[in-house]
Amino acid sequence: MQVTVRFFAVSREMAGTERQIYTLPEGATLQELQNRLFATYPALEAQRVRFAVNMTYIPLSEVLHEGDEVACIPPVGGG
Amino acid sequence: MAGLIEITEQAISADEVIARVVKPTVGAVTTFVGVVRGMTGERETLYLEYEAYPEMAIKTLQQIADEVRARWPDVNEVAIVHRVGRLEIGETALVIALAAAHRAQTFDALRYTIDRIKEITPIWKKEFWADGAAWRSEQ
Repeated sequence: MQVTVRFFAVSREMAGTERQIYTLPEGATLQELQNRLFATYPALEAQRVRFAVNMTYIPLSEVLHEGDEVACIPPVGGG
Repeated sequence: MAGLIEITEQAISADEVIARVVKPTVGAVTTFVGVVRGMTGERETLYLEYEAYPEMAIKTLQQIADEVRARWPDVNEVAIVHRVGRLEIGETALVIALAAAHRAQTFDALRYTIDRIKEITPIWKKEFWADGAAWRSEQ
């Protein structure tokens, strides 16, 4: 299956891109995607990023699905 | 007329946001205006850049507005407008306007609204100084 990962703020700068398609095995969890991302971009791991899937914060144990939009959310700073 | 929840690259006017929540049943509008601070301690900021995950930021701000109206039933209108892009010192980054028939519940509700925005809304702020830049969070 394929999922789209969107990067914002410091994670966008570290990844050098705003979005990227990842191909994962069926049944892969958010944890597995996080492991791939941290392996590719080691500096991300220290950033205390959270992940939203289809615009909702979900636990790392959740299974991903074809077409999901996964957002890499560093600590927010609005207001 | 613009909606009550908005992410915009345009300059924000507090009066214009207040006008969005005023109607005949309203007797109190309580507002928060966040502006770009030029000095933090001894350090001078030149300008800021705000970035949003716009679709999720809108959804999150709508959720916060729903939470506020559920917790403080007298608050019947919640407007939240956040600016993104490059902002200069003194410019308005955020306007919150809460409207109610009477003022009593609006102050606690306003405090809750800004605290929740800073806690969960996917908006980020980068400070630029003469000698560098950094993303800022209160988390």
